[in-house]
Amino acid sequence: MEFGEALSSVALWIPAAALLSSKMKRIAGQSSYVHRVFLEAALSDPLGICNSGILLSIDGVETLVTAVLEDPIGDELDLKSSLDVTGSSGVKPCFKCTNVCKRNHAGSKLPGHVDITCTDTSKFSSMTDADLYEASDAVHAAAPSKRKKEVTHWGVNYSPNGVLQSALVRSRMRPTRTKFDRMHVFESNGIAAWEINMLIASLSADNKFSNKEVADFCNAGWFTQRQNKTAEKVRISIRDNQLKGMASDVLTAMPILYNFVCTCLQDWDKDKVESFKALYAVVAQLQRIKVSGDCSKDATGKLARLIALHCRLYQKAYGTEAVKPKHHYAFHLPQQFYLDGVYVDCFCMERMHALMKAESELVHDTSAPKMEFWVLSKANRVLIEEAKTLNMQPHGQAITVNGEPAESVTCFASWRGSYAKGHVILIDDIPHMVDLCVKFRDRWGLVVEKLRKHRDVHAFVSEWRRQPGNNTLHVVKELWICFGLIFSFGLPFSL
Amino acid sequence: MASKRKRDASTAANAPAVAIRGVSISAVARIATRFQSNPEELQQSQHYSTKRRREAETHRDLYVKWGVQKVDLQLAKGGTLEWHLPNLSQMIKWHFENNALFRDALAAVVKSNPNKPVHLLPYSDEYTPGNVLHPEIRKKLAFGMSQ
Repeated sequence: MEFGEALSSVALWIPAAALLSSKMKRIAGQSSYVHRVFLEAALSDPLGICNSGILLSIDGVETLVTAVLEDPIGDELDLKSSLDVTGSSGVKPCFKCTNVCKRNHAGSKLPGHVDITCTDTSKFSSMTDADLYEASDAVHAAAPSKRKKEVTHWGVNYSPNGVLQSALVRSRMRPTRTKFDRMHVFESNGIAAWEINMLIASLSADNKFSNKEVADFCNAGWFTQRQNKTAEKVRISIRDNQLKGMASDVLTAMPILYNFVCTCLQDWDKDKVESFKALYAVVAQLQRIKVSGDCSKDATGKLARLIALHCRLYQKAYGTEAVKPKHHYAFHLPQQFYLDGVYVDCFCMERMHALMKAESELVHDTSAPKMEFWVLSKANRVLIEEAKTLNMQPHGQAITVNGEPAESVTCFASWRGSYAKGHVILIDDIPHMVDLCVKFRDRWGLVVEKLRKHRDVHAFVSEWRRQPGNNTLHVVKELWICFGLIFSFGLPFSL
Repeated sequence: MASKRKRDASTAANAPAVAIRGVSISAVARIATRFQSNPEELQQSQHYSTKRRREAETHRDLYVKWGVQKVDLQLAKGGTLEWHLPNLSQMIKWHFENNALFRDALAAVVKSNPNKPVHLLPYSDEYTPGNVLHPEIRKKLAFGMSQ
């Protein structure tokens, strides 16, 4: 976790274990048992990195490196199955709270209890590790006939082989510090994706804007840049009242739809407009924390306030029936970032799926006992080859920017995922062309060139031209850049 | 009574040194004839065989280097399942030696925080190879990563 912003680099994640799902289903305790075996193997190795440490040659000096195994991060389904808790499908959908029940459940009317529609974080009672272990023990101690009732009551499944029943894991890890993933909470079939779809459906139902009209607005000449690829025109697909695509498409669409809401929906349903604006503010703050790495009390506190505000406005706009467990999980993200001191999400790991899929497709014999090892072996070697290519990018060239000594860096683009040479960003509502990514005084900066407005194409789109020689240096952390989305048109847009 | 077992190249009296299970003698003869008339194909085949052999050797090499242990997982219906689980510490060591980006990043962290443990973050997920129209469900894998 000390890698900080570099956690976004695929080359720094090690595929450590794999198991065929068809085998997993046959195992007693399924995913939770497999997680337990994996964690216990790492924790119990006396000569391993988690105990005595391993010797690594750093600058020619043999250095002892030890490690602490943190609690995992993952999507809700994965966390639920690895801890073997009932999760979003249970009466108690959150394993981090003791008193939060599912929506409209009778239990939420009990004193000191709330349901997932509650937006007051002070009413949430945090689950401690001891509470979770007690719950797990109570379920295991219950007679088989009463077990189902206990599972419903505690929100923990009966799993004698599970992670929560491991003495070693109990002594070394803190399951209640398991991390929710922002991407799965917001973008990947999450809060942002749902609200975009609901907004599109409402517009269509009111005959305000059809799916095609909203899609046309989104595709009206916006440019985006992902990773270190060249800038490409935004292509948003909206059909059947849904935004088609993955988490990155939701992220790409968010600022454009925000602009759409601000400019085209001023005379429409005020509650839905305000809810969407609040959602945008939440996602923008998440991106600020991600890009700046600032997990301070101020930044995470602001995020918590924005999440609470959005949740209230969302309920006002769409009703409490539209609230889902992920709306509650979002409340845990600010505290998680603050306590960990680092922002981590699953975008990077999801990117690695492509590598794992590609290598799995090459292995045909799934009945082979070492099939999973072959996939791991190949994936790790491909990962290293890719890392070599990344590392070969030229960087470290000494330059002078505004009279200051600096160093140009191209791997900046692959680590940050947002900026690259030759693309346009929006600073103070004016598009700028990025000429160079630089490192100076141990800080990151961009040499940018202010663009000049050439002509207005139509009400929302203008054409901008370069002004050679009009270069300035901007410190990245002071930039108001969002979503890695590069705007090449001037818009009445504020972030 | 004569055996009904089909004679193939591996059971033949003059079976080649390299086992070719399940391939009939006539098929081997046809392949040999074809290779004699097309030396280029023979070369390509040998090249492919070499690549496969090297790949297998690399797998065996990594199996030892990563300190893979066989773990017996209990099955719900009784019995056990063998799982080949690499040693996490050995994998980190191997990545440190072979992955330049990982080495630079870890070295920088260790140098800036001497005598302090680093924090490993596990992540696990499930994926299905293939594509949306043709997912290869039988190859669906759960995998874990760590950093």
